[in-house]
Amino acid sequence: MKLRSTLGIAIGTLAIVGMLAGCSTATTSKPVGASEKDKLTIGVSFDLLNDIRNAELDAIKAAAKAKGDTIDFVSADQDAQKQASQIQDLIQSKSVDAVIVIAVNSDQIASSVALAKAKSVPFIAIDRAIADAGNVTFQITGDPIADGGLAAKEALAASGDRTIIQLVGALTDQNAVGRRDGFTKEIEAGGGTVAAQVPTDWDLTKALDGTANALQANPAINTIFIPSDYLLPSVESALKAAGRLAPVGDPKHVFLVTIDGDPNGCKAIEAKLLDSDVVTPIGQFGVQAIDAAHVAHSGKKPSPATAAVPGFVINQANQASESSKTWGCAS
Amino acid sequence: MTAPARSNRNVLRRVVGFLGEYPLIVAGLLLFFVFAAIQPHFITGSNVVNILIQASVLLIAGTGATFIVMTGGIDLSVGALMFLGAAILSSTLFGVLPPLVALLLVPIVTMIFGSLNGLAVAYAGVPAMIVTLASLQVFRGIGGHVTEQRSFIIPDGLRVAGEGNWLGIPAPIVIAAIVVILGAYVLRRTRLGRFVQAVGSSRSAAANAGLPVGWVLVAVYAIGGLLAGVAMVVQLGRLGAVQPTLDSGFELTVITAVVLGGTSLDGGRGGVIGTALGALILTIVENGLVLTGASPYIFDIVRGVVLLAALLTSGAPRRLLSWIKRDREEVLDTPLNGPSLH
Amino acid sequence: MLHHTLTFRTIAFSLPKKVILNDAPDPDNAPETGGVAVDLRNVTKSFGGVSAVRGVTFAIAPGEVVALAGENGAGKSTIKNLIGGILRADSGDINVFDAPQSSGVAGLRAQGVSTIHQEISLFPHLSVAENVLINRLGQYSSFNVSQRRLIRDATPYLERVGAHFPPSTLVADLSTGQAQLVEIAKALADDPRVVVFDEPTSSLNLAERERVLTLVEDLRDTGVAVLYIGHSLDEIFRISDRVVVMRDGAVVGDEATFDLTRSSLEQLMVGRELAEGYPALEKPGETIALRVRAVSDDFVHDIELEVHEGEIFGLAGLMGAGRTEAARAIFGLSTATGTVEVQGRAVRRNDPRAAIRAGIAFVTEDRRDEGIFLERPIRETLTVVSLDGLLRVPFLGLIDRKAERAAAASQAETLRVSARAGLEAQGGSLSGGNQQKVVLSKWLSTNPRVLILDEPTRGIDVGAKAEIYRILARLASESLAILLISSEMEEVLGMSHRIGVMSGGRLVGTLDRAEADQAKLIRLATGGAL
Repeated sequence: MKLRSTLGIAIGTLAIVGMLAGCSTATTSKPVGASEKDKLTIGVSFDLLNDIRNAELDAIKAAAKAKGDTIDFVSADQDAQKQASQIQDLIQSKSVDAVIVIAVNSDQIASSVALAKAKSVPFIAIDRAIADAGNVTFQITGDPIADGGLAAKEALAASGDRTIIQLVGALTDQNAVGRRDGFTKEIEAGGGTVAAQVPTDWDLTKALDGTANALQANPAINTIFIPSDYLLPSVESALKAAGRLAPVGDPKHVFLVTIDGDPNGCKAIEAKLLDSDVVTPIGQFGVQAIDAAHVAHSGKKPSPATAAVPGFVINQANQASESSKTWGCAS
Repeated sequence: MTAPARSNRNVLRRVVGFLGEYPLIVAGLLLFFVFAAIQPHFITGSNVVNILIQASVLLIAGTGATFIVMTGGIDLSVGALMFLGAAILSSTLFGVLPPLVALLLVPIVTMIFGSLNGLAVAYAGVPAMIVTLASLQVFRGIGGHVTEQRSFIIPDGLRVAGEGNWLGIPAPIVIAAIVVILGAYVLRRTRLGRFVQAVGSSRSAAANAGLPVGWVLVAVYAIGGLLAGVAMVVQLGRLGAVQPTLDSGFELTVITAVVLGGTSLDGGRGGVIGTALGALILTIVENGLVLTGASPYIFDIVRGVVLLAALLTSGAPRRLLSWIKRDREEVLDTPLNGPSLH
Repeated sequence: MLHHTLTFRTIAFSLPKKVILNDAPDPDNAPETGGVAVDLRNVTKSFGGVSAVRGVTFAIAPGEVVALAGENGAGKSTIKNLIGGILRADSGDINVFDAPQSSGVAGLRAQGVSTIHQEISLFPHLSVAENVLINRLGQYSSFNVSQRRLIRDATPYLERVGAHFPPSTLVADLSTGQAQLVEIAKALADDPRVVVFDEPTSSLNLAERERVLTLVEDLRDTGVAVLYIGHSLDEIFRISDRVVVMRDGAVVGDEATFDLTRSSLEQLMVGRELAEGYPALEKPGETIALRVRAVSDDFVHDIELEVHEGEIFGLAGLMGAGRTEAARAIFGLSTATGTVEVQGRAVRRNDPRAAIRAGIAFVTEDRRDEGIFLERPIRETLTVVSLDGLLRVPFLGLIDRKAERAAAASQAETLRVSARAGLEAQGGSLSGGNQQKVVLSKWLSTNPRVLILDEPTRGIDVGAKAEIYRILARLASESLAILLISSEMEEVLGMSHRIGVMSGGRLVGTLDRAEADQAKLIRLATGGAL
């Protein structure tokens, strides 16, 4: 009896060891392209999730997959403190090889940057520029001022006198502030004026009510600058309620220019409701961020350390040629 | 006191008494004239319609919240519940339903979720603040899960409540008016309304009187949920899109409207009409600020100052009233020979 | 009512008035500091029209113990709060050592007046030592209050009151009796020249009680003026030099203790005209309206009683004897075992709604928080229990406003509720008597067969009290069964056909009106046998 149970334990132990051995054999025998060391685990921390972020995340995942990297993704729900804790968890508890971050707030992210530096984990910022850019391993963002300027040139190119209102995103977001400043500066340089600013806090309802109120106060409005595609439905609803929604070419049409180039924007261009969209190169963010992670991991410094990539314009005239490059039209 | 002096005083008492009940009317009118003086477009008929449309969502959600606050409760989950309603409406599950059915189902679903709040408050004995703080997370989480945190465009068929025109009146105004009038009626003239006021005034007195306290609490949170759903149907109709952060923080606007309208956070005192006035004032401020071309940087300051001023002026008629009434003390406490009731 | 008042006045005037300032009984022992420590002249105070204290005049000399005696609601606490600076008198003068009384508790402390309240006013999460020295913490370093020094400084005061627990104990961990001792030590730490004790021994055990009484004698011997408020006649006779007796807010006697006997003091406190002040009660019916069998819960045990139609059954007992708890158990507000029958039919247990349907009505002790809706019109309180009968469309619950107003008006008229703003007056704006009448009317609208009243006349002035008595007598004559709980012995004696006495959560005896008197009630209530 005793013998049998001892035997049982012995057989069981053997079986487990054998299974483990089998596993390790299986992995080691698998052919490898890059060396095991070059497959990174990369922590990705976003400020929030929406369509644009989803597209950016998809780009990062695609680039990571090509290199065989693993992505560990977290979202901070627009809470800077939460983001700091999440990045701390990624670096200290999960020991990721690099972090890719869209900061909730460009100043408050400083403690996370310092932590990454102390732990020698590459810190890569994308989309939103970070105040402490000197300590960031690599940063790639859009160029909000240039994008705003491009949007303004589109508005100025339209014929006739322009009475312009400008929607403004959250004033705590330097992308929103940059787009506003770039737009205003270029309009003034071109001899135009902005009739009214509508604060939106990136909120659909505020954008709708604000636009409706501005149309009310100033019936002469014939141009609206929308700093992000995702406010476009609000503006369309406000125009519709005011009886001003008409396709491009209609005399009642209000000239609309947006930034982002997301699926909403792409569809609106195709439907002749939107005149111009400044497309941000978010696909590039993903590819370059992953590349920078590998460069930094191999002990070199990515060069240049910061990149601000301006967008390009897709409009009614060039949509046939540009839509293939527009990320929003791809999905 | 001479006879004419007394009758003058009675007229004054009646006018001040009315304003004492709805002190926001004074503040609202004042605000209206200030904006009108700065920007003539403000007093056009179409802008008044605009203000009413823009206030509609807050009016509807605020009516529901008034019921809850009247019982001494609070609902911090209303914004999240609205988002949940929107998420459900935009889900593929609902895509197969006829638009009208889908629109009617949303408030029913949010009513069920709202009554879960009520059950926890009434029977688990957890404070309403904690219950709804937790359900805020849960509701927003479910909504986020359903939408996968993506934005959605709402098909035109589902936008009747936001874009429709009924008898020449924009649908949001019609719906908000119906909700406010019905809400005020239920709170004032029905047994349920009386029970709500009784429970809010003194929960133990209500229990001692044999009122179904638990049932009343579930009912008010169910009403809050129902109206959150109705508010969402109107809001989606207006916006035409759902975004993941939709209505986050809206609960504070709702509570502001309720409190501004004179409903006591301790419960028992207040009403739907007051909340409606509060909601209108908040909307007038937003509308007026954009119309007068104020700088976005000062919006928050103006908002805060107006709120404070509205609350301060709203106390004035009441103080005036108590000044007029100050002679009542001697008369009140004559137990045997005092004036009896007719 | 008029008759009642006249009788009362006659008695008040017929009392022999003595010279106010008496010598201490043992002049050799009491240091003669001379003068007057506290002097009240014609002090009057009323609350919202109900006068609590009327024209009170008396004085306390240094080295003298004056006992303030009277029933509940006689105005003793108001006097305590006036002397202690918590209330301000409406008229009259209060002088402390020949100077006008300072305003506020802190100012009075500087004048040397300390008040030991019955309700504990300690900080539960601070230590005993910190509590004792709380008024002097300012004298310590503001950066670091040394615990060791606090304990050293507090120890003498604690020893003086006989507190045998470490000064570092948190007050939250003390028993009520121990906390009371800390409260006294805290008063002593202010080195007072006048001390007001408000029933200091009610929560103490025998040894602690003895310690406190000795302490009072100590204080007297060192020239402190003591005002001692207490219910125990034994204590009053043991320690006081003089007794000031109050009734219905006025001083009805001010005598040297050795001139009084137990019965003459009782007579002063209760007033001998009371038997005539209550309305005549009719003979109760034969049918048993309320039958309570073996009702027990966490607070009461095996309550058994029967109340006939038209009978008023009084329930007497000391504070904490379980009278309120018994009523709550009968009404179904607690989780109790046992049976309750109304007119022979069992009432579903622990469900107040079932009790109401069965015909029980319960006027609770706390009328402001549990009876009336303070912030709502009295119309709503009046109709809230009978709303189902006032609906236009019962299914939708629409209230018939005309019917409601008519019902509320007739209810209010039946009991002669007076409110200036009529039915729309807020509950909180009414006087106590009128609030009580509103609560009564509310319940009468359900046509109850059994009416339970818990302290129905507490905090109500004399006139309204008499009116409530008349209403109860009339209701009984209309064959309503009434269970009347009251802390006022003579109210129970005057208003009941039969009286049950409770002690320690049990009904320890039932007496017929004819055989009952105060002595028997007190004996039963304190756990004695007849």
